Amino acid sequence: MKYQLLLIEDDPIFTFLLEKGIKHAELKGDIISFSNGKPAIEYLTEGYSESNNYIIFLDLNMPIMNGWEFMDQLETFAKVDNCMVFILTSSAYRNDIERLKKKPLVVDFVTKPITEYHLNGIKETIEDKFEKNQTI
Amino acid sequence: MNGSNILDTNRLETLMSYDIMDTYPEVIYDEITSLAASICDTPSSLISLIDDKRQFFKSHFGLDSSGSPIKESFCKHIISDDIDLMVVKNTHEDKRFQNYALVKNDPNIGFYAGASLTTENGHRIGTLCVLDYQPRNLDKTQIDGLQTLAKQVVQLLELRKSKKIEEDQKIDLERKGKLLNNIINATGIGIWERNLIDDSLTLNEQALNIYGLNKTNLSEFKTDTWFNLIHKDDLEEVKKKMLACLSYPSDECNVQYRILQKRGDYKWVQDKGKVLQWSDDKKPQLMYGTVQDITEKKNYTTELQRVKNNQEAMINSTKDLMWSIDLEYRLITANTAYHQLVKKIQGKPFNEGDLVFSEHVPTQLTKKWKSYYNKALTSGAFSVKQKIQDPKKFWTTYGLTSFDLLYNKEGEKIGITCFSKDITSEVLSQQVLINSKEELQKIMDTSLDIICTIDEEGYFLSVNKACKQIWGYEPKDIIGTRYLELVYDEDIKLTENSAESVLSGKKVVNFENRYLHKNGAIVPLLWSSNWDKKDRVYYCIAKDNTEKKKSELQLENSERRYKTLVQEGSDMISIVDEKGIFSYASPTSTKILNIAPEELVGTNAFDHIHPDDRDTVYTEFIKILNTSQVSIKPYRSKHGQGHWIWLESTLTNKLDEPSINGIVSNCKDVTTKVQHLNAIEEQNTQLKKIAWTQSHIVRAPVARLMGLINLLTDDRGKLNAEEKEQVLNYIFTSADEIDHIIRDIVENTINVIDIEENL
Repeated sequence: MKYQLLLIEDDPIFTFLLEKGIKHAELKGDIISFSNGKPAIEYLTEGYSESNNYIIFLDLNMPIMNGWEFMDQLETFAKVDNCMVFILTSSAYRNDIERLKKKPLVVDFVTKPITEYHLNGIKETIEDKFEKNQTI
Repeated sequence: MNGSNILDTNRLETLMSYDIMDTYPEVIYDEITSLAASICDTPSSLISLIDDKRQFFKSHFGLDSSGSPIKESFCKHIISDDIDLMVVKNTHEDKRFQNYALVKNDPNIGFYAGASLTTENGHRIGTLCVLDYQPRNLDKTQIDGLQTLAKQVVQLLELRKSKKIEEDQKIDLERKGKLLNNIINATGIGIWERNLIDDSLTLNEQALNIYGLNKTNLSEFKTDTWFNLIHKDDLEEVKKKMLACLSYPSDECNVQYRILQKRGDYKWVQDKGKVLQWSDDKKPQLMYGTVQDITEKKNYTTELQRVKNNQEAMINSTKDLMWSIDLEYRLITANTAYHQLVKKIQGKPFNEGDLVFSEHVPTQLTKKWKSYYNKALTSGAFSVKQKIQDPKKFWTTYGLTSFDLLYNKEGEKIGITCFSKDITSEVLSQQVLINSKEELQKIMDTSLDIICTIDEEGYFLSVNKACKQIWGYEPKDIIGTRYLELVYDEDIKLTENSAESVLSGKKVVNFENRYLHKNGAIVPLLWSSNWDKKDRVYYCIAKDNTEKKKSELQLENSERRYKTLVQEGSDMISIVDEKGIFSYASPTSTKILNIAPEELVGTNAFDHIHPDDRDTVYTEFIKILNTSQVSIKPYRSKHGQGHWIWLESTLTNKLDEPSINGIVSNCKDVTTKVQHLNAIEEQNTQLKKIAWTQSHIVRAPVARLMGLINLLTDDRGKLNAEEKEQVLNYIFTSADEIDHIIRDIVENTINVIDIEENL
């Protein structure tokens, strides 16, 4: 089983920090970065395979295609079995993310800055789902 | 026993039985005296019969006398001395007779010889005697002859007597025969004789009539002929009785049956008969009997039976209990209802003759009933009401039992008749009546209003106690006076008119007039009156109207106050119908809308509302139809001068209030308020923007810095030099960004404050 880690974030500093964090936490899989939802959804539409596991880190406020628009499209084809979305928010102000909570693909919300501690927790969640073959 | 023999009653009775005293002379006796005189050779001979006072000469040969008193009798000595023969040779020498008139004077009897007339039962009833004028004697042959003749006289008397008896018997028989005939004729009883040897029938006239037969063809009337005429329902019984009667030995038989008449109808007859002659071999030979027409009696009995059956059916079909007992409390008879009740109580009814006290009821109850019976026996008929509480059921029943004495034909007391009736419904309805009467009385007594009746002439017939409070008079002062005397002078005419219209059948309610109180005060009254044609009285209720009058005044005042408030207030008050058409608008409309109330009335409220707000207001407006109050949020309404002003309304549903019959709208001009609200809202938007900026724009670079610093401090030698430099650059960029953002915030905030100052 192949893992793909998709980072969708317009702020390059956050992308940098996330990449470093992922390396430090030793999360399995290839890291692919996108500057907004559009290139990310295009990538997935073309190459989506049920034999891959997709771990998606998604920022919400982005130019061109924001996080909500991305989620609306992703839902149309992605399966819960091989897809996990972690939402990245820049503040504790959560009014605008309420509607995302109900989406089955969304696993958790992470307030920026993302730390190694966060990533260790995410790693465990991922392993629980895919390694131990358990459904959440 | 000298003398007593003469008076012996048996002797006298014997004498009388010959019925000879004072009878006419008869040749046969005269021939005997003549023969005796001849035999004895005397000039005279007598047959002398002696009772207690005198001697009667049935025959007197040679002496012209038919008798004499007993005092101067020769013959009596034969009786008193109880001798068969007495001879007195010389009467002049015998002391007993020498002073007798017949001896001393003419015919100067000197000799007497008498032989006793002795009857078969030994009584001496007199003598056969011979007399001579000279003393002398008789020889033995003469005496024998005399005594033989005396016996002959007795024989003659006996013969005479038996002949007399025979004659008497014959007369008696004839008389009795006549009597029997009369009886038969009078009673209409028929007599028949049936000869069973040759099967023939003999009937008297009545019997012929009763059977309806003719004497001529009676010979052909055989037993079978008779059977053929008998009603088929009775034939078997007749044959049975007949057979019983003809079998030796038999008693009298008695049978009732119907016999066919020539006209085709049946006649009820009763035959009584008996076989009076049997052959040696015990075969019946002759039968006698009577026949009676009992048709009427039978009809009467049938009618009696029918009436009795009807009465019995009635008595037994009623639920009331009827029974009678004798003087020892034993049941004589009872109807079905009584038997059923007893059966319910003790499982079986009383038999006639049983004591009417059951062991299945409490002793106390038995005692009570016994006392009732005794009371009836000692003091006659009476009735008693009982309350019966059955604990098994949960209701109370009432019974009325009447006791009366029972007499027999002779008028002797023989028992008690009892009649018990369930009067629960009567008692209950009576109670209801009493209760309702009491209630009515209570209502009358406690009513604060005057309740009274007045007759046609206007006089009070009755009035309740309320008059004391309202008029100051006691009811007794009022009753009998004319009501007009109490009416306030100015209202008399009005009151009379009202009374007239009541009399004409109109029911007048809420008629107002004034009465004079005893203390002179004027009392306003409110009358409801009704004329009852049947009772010919007015039924009236009068309410003290003082308080109401006061409150009316208060109402008037408050109305005035209210009007002032409405007209002088700052709110516009209007009334609209379900469609929104104005029916009223307060004068404040001029102040608020610059439109006069008259201009508003008749127009639709929605025509005055801003087209953008119309739907919203209408949605709220229609809710009022289902609720009592609705508040409508500010909406725009056209001002008289053409601009829009903001109004806020409270609607109140008064559609059911007859005085309003519409929706009351309370309008307030809220233009200023709305402007304030809009300003506040705008400010809010600004503030939100600030908040958003804070959360997203400010926090993003801060978060970045935190992440970068974290990376540096938690490095543990993972970053190379190039990477470290990049991190530092990032830190600078982020700090710079924060600086810009803060400057923007300050600028925005100043703008917001400016808006506020502009208001």
